[in-house]
Amino acid sequence: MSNLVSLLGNAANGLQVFQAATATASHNMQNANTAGYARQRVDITTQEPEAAQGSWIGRGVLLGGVSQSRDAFLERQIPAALGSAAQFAAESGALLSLGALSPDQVGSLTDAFGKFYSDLRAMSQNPGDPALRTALVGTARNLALSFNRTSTAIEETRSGLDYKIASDVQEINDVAREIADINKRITAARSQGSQPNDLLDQRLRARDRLAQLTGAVAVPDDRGNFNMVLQGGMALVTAGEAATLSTAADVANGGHLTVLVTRIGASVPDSFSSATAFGGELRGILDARDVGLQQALTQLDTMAFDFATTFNTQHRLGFALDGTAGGDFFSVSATAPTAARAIGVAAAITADPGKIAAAAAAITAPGDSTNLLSLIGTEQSVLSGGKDVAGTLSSIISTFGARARSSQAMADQDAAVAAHLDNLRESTSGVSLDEEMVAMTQAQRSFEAVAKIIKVTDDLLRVLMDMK
Amino acid sequence: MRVTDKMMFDNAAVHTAQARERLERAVEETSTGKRLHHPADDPAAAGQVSAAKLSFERLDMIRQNAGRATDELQAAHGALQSVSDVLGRARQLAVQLANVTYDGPDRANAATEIDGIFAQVVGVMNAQVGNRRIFGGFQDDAAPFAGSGAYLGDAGVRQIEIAPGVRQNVSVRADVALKGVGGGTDVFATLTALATALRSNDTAGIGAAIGSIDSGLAQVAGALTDASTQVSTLTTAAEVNQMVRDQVTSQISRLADADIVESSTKLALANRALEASMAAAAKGFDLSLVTWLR
Repeated sequence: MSNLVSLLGNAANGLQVFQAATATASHNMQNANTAGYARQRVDITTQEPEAAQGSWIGRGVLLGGVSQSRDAFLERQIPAALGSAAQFAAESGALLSLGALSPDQVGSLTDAFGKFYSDLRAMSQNPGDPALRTALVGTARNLALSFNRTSTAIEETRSGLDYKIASDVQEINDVAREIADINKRITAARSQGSQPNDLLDQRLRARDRLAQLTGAVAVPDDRGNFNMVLQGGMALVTAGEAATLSTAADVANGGHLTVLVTRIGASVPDSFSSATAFGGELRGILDARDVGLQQALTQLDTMAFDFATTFNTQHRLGFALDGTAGGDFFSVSATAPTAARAIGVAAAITADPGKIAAAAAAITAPGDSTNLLSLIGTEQSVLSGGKDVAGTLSSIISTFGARARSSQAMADQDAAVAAHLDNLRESTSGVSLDEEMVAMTQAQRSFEAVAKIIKVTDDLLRVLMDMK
Repeated sequence: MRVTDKMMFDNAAVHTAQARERLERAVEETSTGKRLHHPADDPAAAGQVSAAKLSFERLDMIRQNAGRATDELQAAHGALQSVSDVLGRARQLAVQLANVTYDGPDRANAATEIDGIFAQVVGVMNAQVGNRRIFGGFQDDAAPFAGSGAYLGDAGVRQIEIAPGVRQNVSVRADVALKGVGGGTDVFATLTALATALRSNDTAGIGAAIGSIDSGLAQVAGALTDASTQVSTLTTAAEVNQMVRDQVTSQISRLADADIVESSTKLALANRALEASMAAAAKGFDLSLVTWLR
């Protein structure tokens, strides 16, 4: 039966509820700018009434719990969008960082080829002129150096990405272990009947980061764990356990790092893992290193090898200023791989520009540029890719540019999708200071009203106490 | 849509950053005058620019080579014209002194002049442009004619490229023009024979030399025509190359250069967009219940 003392108890309960509401509004406001934070709401329910004199008398409010505002549908879409955006952002970032293939760059291959053939033509007009011969050796060295520098720039970009891979692998392991650890803590908290909202936020942040790094998606199980699965189907996190990634030098890929996975429960890593097992930033970096940049490097090596071989073949048909048979003009590797890095001007030519085989006959004929004209003709020779020098160079530049542009377009597009989803998430789960100010004022008013109830009840009790 | 404070701040940051990035691009394009900074900016155009630049270098050097070769050919033409002139004088002397009215001393004097003409032809035919002898064929580093009139050069005809894969002769064969290689007249032998006939008062020999001088003059005239034709071809080739080079230059500019009007407009727009973005963001930040509920 309701009495004044129980009224006091109900009011005290109400004070606690509105105190909790104020505290939650305060918590929300303080976390308004915390990444991944979902606003919390105090669930206030009506206390069950009690029977009194044939009627039901209300007993105030009850704290039903503190819940998060999350849209499960949105949350399912976000990791894939983050992974895809991070993948193309990483790939385009890596490809755009390479400026060596820009035709406008000073000392570019385009410039070097242009000057080389120009000097060849200048010398053809007066092949006996020692100054023109020396100038040609100089521009030939520049051409070789331009191949060397472009190859080195690509290789250095690839090596730089190895460092990024190593650091990403470290972070992936940390984040995967963090998710596994939070899974355990959430399970433990729930077993004690509480809802660990802030741990859920923390796990969601880690899930998003792992999705960005690896493209892994979260598959929740019936116990509330997040199991993180790579796009190839391999489990990165299962409940409280995490797989471990490691790196190893891949001899078949010039010593660049390959990423290996030690599966959950295994003690040694799988012997091989393909880039396609991953998504996210890691995949973007691997694709940039082993597809975009590697393709440019391979094309460059092939061009250097084809060009040097073609030029040398023609050069050997000619005769030097002293009537001796022409040797190789360029020194180059025996096969195409590494040719761009290895190409140089043959030592005999550098030591004596008179060895440039301009003449067509084995006599001393300084004015004979017959073979030189044939050497100029190598500019139009079809190389192994079916194009001449200009066409091959143009193709290398365009192919690389198209790959970089395509990944940049995908990155922009996916970043827009991810930003849109993030906005929608923020719209659902984010904290509005306006709302929280209203909620806090509302809780304050309610608190004041309940305090008034206590005062009134106290007055009523005093009236009773004063009855004599 | 429910708008939170974080959304407002995040969006303001993102939008302002995007506006700033667009402004930076517009500034770069306007200040450098270039629209291609990386092959990704326009992959097809980047490839075409590379090929066009190689084409430009080729056309430019072909034009320069044609200019140098033209200089040499004009020098050769001048030398051959001098030879033709002095051979004309030799013919004139021969015709004059074949006449019976002249006596031995007159003819001896004329022989001395013919000796001078001989030496003059040798000197002219050893002409050089820069550091090279223009009448020695491929042997262009030494005088092609000895004092005796012997030819020390070879039969080589120098060539240059006037278009990709197209070669053009840029020298005349002095061995043919002066020494009659291939069945012609040896001009030096003719002059020697004439001088000998003049000294020996041999009118028949003098008369015979006139025919040979005529053949020699015809050979030199052929070489002059050859040189003129080559100059004409080179001039045409240089003009064509210049025209194509100009087209390639404008192609490179069209592909790689920024349109200054368009870039300036983009710059003004980007500037305005950034100002608007910052003003809107600042306005949004002011509107909050936190300000009003005190």
